[in-house]
Amino acid sequence: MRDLLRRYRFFLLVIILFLATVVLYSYNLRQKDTTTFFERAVLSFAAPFQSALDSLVDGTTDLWRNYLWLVDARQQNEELLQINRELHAQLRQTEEIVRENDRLRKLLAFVDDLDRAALPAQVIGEDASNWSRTIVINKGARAGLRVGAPVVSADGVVGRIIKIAPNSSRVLLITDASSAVAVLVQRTRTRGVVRGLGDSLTLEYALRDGDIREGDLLVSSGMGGVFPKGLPLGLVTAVKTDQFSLFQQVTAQTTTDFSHLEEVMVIVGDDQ
Amino acid sequence: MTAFVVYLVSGLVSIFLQSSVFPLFLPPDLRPNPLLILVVFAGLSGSTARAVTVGVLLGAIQDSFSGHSLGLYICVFLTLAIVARLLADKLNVESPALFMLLIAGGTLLQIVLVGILLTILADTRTVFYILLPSIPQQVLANVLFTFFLFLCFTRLTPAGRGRRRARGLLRLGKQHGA
Repeated sequence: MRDLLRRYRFFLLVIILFLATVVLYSYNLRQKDTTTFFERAVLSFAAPFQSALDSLVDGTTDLWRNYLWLVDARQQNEELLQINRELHAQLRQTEEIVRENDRLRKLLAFVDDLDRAALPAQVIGEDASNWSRTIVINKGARAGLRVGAPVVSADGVVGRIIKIAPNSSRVLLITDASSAVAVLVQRTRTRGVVRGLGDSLTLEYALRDGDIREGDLLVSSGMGGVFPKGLPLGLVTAVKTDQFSLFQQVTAQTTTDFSHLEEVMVIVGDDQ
Repeated sequence: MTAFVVYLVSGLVSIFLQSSVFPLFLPPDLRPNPLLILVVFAGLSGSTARAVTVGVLLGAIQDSFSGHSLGLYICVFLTLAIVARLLADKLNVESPALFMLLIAGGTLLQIVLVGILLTILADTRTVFYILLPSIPQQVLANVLFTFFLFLCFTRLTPAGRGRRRARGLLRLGKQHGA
């Protein structure tokens, strides 16, 4: 028996150790939530080393990736910059479309109120002189426009067509010195004629006893047959009454911002 | 004929600048008038026949792109070309400074003529309210643009014949000094 034990000592020890580990594992399976003293000790001992090793590996990897292994970084950078530029361009285009959409919506809403057929057009040029105020639009006789047709924006009257070509038209703005539009002061119905002063307007033939105040809105009177009645032209900015004059001196600011005019509507139809 | 075509092409480029490019960046009073510069240049450098033809042609181009009646700028530019032609025989047209002074004078003359013609013939009384305040800016814009053109010409032209000519900007006509 002794010889047998001695002879198979090694295998017996292995079996005993195996069984012991199985028992240990089996015991610990029931104690999942408790950390043994041994485990705590090992973990506590290993943690600083693990931390240091981890930092070392991270540092080395970063060094390698960020400073040494940069073979395709330049190419990637170029590609990303290109993508960035394209996305920026798309974004700007989208913003432009959104703004244009807003302007056209306002313009359509304004023309809908008129109950008259209208044609949208884009401003493609301005007057070549500094004293005359005209613009060129991209619609002409082929689109059915005619000389004298009124042109409006979402904010009010722009002017009327004075020259026409097959695919473009010249519009005389209400701020031109040769432009004259019959108007009413909306609040008091005082009559007058608005003439252009380049960047602003002057109201002529407004009788001295007419009630006109700063901030009053000037609207087209419909007289003359060019502009429909009630379209806004300007807001009164100053009123002067000379002691010996028959008329008041009234200046007004246009309701339309002519320096930022991009789209207009040409009224082509008659009153419905 | 070649000179005529050069003036025509230059005039079309100028009118394109005036009606479609300058308005994008400059307010009306600060927009230079390259056509006026061309007319003065033609008046000073060529024969009387060429000056008159160029004045009428460029005036017609300007009229087509401004205001609403053909003829105003034909009249104004024709007058400018003839005045420049008459002065060319009496002044040292080789001087760039004098050329710029003539541009300033030409701008003033143009404003006065436009104002008078519009007031008398077109009953556009309020035009002087637009023209008078714009005089300093218009003169400044035209003189600066002429200076810019002169700089471009002298920088781009290689030293030699062209550059020597550019010192005076002008090529004298056959009648010069006669």
